[in-house]
Amino acid sequence: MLDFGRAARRSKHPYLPSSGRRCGFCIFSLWVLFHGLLLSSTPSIASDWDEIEKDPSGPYAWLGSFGENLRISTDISVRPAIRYSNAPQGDYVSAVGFLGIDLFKVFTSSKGDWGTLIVQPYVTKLNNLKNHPNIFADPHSGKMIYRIVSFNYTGLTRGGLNVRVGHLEIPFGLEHVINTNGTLRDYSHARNFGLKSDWGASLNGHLSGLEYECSATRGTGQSLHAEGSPFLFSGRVGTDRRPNLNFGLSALFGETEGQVGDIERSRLGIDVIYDWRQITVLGEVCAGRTGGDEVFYTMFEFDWNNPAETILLFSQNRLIRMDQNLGPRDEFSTSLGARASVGANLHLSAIWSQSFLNPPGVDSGSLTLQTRLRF
Amino acid sequence: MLTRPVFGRQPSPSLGIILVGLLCLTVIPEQSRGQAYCALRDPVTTIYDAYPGADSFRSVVRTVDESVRGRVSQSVPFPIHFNELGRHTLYVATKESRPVGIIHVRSERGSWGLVEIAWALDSELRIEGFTFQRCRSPQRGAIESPQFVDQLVGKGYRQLIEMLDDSGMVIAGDLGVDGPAKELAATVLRSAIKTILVTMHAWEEPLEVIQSMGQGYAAFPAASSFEKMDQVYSEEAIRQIERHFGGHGTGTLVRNSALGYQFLDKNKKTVGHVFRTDWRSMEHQHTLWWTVTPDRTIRSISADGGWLSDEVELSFSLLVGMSYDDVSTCSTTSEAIAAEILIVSNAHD
Repeated sequence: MLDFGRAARRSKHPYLPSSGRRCGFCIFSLWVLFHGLLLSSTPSIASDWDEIEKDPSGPYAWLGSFGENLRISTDISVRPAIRYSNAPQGDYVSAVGFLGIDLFKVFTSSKGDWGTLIVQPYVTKLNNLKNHPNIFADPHSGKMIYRIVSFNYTGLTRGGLNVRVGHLEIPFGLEHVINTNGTLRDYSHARNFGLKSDWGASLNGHLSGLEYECSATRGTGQSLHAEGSPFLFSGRVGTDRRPNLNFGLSALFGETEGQVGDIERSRLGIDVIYDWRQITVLGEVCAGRTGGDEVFYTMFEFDWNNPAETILLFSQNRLIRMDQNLGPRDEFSTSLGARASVGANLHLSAIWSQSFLNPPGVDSGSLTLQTRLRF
Repeated sequence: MLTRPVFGRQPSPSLGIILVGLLCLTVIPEQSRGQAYCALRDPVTTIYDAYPGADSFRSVVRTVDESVRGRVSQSVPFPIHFNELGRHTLYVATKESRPVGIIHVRSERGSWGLVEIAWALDSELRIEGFTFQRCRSPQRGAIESPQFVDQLVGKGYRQLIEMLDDSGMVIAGDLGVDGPAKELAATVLRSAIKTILVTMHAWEEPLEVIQSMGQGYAAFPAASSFEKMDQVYSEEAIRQIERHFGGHGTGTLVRNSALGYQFLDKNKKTVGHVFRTDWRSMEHQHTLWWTVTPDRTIRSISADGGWLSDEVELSFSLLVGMSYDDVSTCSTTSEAIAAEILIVSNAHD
């Protein structure tokens, strides 16, 4: 029997004990599943709608009812890079390969759509990636990476309150608006929080012309398990995306898992996107703390696309200022990138990046190419 | 170096590769867009802005493929680009599980980038309104003005085609917009026409039911369910037609494509009929929707995509209120067509 009291005393967290969180997560998931099954089994005028969803000549008819309102794509990418720095390891060439599927399924009942399932498992193989993420054992290892694996329950209201569970993107800043999964573009997450997506749940929806998402996640990234008991809360409220000018306010606090113990993080941020003719200007500013250090992060991006939007050119500039015990430390990085779409399935990308440190340290840069095939 | 087990045990890379590889083999290759599916967003705000009385909506996903592209190309001088093919979603706004409108979002190439437009269509696939989901053009405001939008509302694809020149790339007339905005106006019109035609051809089967429900529940509010007629031109119907016309009826209604639905109240009593018929003559091709009351009176007639001409529209509008008792006195072509429908409805009593 779970003893919430003992778990709470043992945990250094003021939040729910880890066993309680897992229990709550399971109970909630069962509740969503039950509600969904109930909705999907409600008889009615509904049976007429069943005929509407059926697509006997569609590509996924062989999957039965699961094949209705379903999209699946295979996604293959190869990402070679030249990495250069004045560190002892020197310059080197690396490559990363991705092979995965992208599945999107809408669940519908007699009362309408009630859920959306996204599953994106990718087999990821490194080749000589010396500064590899901690989740990989060595520069040449490979493993299954879960990008987004989530179910968004939309059957509660008219879009005002939805509940998402699974491995979801942390709602913060531009990353919440611009889809960068599988691309060479990145925003604040990796550099700011050390992770882009995390296991947990969120409330999300549209209210009074605003969109929002607030999440509570594990703070561990790919893994559900952790040595400590990190936990991360994050949220973003943004304006309607339909006009050419969009704003967003974001907040994050909690702990993420580090190499040696959990790392406290807090941020407040603001983001803006403005579309004008063939140009898009994006900006993001956030400030807070990482561990004991104050952090100030700012990013400015300038995009140009051709009218068919098959060619994208972009320039990103980042300034990260950290006030550490030993004094302030700045990192300025600039990137120039391009993406070209050849037909509907093939996408070629390139990005050159260079970082500069003040006070001087290990400068680094890279030239990364990517060939991505989706079909 | 810390290792992080996933779901309790580290799966071997070779097992993962095998699993994903097997999954990849099951995927049917099809046109795919560049963006990952996690970028897909339902136009929730747009749906409820267009249909504030709706309490829900449902998605119907279909593939827009080369056959659809070919059929659309037969009706318009401008083609569907290969980038527009693939899996797309039609949203049906509902109230108490009854359709109240259709939303279809399509992208059209503009001068400054892709223009993404959410179109609201009624059950006869006429424009009810539109919203830019994304538009970089500086002329956006002029096109969103009521002065321009009102010119599109209520129109089917036939009338929209007439608002463009023969090439389909330039608007015919000024449509209340000045020089720089005319290009965006033409883009929006092409988008509207393509949206309606793609909806008609790619969602042909679900539309039969959606449109029937829309027509029927609007005409017969007391209805709580409906049943599809197995055969509209049943043996009894053909017998009655031959008795009345002394032959094979008007000869202009295509019998094997006719659809009929019986709308029932909660006591399973018939409250009305809805028919969809293809009308083919030397000059005209229309898909017509008829609603007929239980006392065999024509309640409404409409044409998919709009009427070919004002004269044709007028001749059919005069038939509203025609009853089975008038069948023997019909004298015009449209009256004869209506008489055939009333005879069919009577045979399904």
